[in-house]
Amino acid sequence: MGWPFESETWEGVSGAIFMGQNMTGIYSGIGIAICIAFLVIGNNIEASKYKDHK
Amino acid sequence: MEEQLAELAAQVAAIEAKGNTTNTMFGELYYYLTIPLMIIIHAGFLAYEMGASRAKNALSSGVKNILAFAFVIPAFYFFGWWVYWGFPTGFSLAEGPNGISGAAYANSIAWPWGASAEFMGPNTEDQIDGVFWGAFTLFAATTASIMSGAVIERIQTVGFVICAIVLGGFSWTLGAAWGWHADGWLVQDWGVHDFGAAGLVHAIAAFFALGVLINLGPRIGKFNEDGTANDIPGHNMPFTATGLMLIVVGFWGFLMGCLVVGGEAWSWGANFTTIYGSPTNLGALSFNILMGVAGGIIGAWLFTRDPFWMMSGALAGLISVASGMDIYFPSLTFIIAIGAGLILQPAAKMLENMGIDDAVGAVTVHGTIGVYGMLILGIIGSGYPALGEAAAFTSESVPTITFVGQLVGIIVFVAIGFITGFVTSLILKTLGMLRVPEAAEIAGLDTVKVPAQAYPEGIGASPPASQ
Repeated sequence: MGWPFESETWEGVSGAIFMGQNMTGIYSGIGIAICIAFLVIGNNIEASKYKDHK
Repeated sequence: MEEQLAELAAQVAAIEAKGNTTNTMFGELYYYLTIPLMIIIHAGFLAYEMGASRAKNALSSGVKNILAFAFVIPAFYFFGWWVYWGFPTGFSLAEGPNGISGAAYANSIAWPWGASAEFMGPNTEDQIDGVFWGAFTLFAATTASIMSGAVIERIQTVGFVICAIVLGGFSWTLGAAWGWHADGWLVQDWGVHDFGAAGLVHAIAAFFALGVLINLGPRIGKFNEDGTANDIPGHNMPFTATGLMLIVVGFWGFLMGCLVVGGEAWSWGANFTTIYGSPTNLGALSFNILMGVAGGIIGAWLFTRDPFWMMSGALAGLISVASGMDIYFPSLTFIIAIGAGLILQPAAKMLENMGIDDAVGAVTVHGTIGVYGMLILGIIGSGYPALGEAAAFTSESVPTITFVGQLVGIIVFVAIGFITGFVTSLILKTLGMLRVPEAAEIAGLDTVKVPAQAYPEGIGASPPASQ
């Protein structure tokens, strides 16, 4: 794997553990979860706007 | 056999020469194309600020914006480019470890007169300086446009232009010399890393604007006697939102210009690098710009549901990940940008509660989020090299990104912006050149000083044609 994944082209990335290849799945999972949560919350807020216009 | 070898060697040399020519032309064209792309940023700011003004001030806001663009260009030509190359090691103007900075070096390439003038005008032997200067000039003009939106509807034209010249020609350039140059003392000593200029363009411009706003004061009617704020809506929200989208388009050119093309004598290596000589490529930008913009919009949408804040969120998303766009993983970029979108409006409200009338939220979008982006990189990117090995003083002492380094960097950037903005505007205020008279502000600046009308026929709806 190329830069910037850990232990490839730079040996001093021990502090940058969060950027490592193993974290990519966790970041992606969090991103997807936020999208779904925001859609749910957003839909609830939108539904509340329609209450007085039925 | 020897003849064949000689012929083969000649053919290889010819192919190599052609390859070098192609690479040189690519490098020149690459930076050249960033310039019109970045001009789209200014088209966006023009639409955005005119739309965010009340109808009585729409054209005067536009005049101000156009003049900022026009005056920053010669300012950067006549002295801004020299500041960038002269100041990296600090006020000593000494030469830095890479030998591409200091007064002597700047004198040799950046004055548009004397011996260095060959690099500051048409020269068929020089395929880089003109286009590189052009790209930097557009960075400079962008800083002025960032400040411009905050001060609409009550600043004098010439007073504003003087602020734009100081910001675009000196303030941000000093920050760039210190933190966006391989010889910059913030980079070499503190490991400051700000690839896409979240701190040194966005935060410097925003805190310059804050310094000006303190001396300029709020628009008439913005605050009530009890300190509560009134909303002063612009006259054309669709225009404003479209302008913001154009700014996002233009930032593709801006971020392109943050890369150094490889394979040339002035390059850091064979491939694309950052301005610090560390490796990256256009793929990193493609992933992270798009994910950053998307995250910012989604974050701002959840609680505001307002197209103005959603498009401001797009910009905030972009700015929040700009410092580490060369190394972030896109899913992480997305999360950071959502955070930026979420804090945007509350941060703007906090500033308003402090009695600051920032008409378009520029201090928040570019300043607060610029600080956020710099510091987030200090946490997540800690341990990565701030400089490429080719650009570091020695390969054993490559400075790395740290939270403390990023903190020092952003403190310096904020100080440069705020101090120069506050002092410049204070002088202008003392000279009576900062704020328009109260009667002119009430009448509307277009009526008072623009010999043209924004909407001579009003904005009425036309009746539909009969069938």
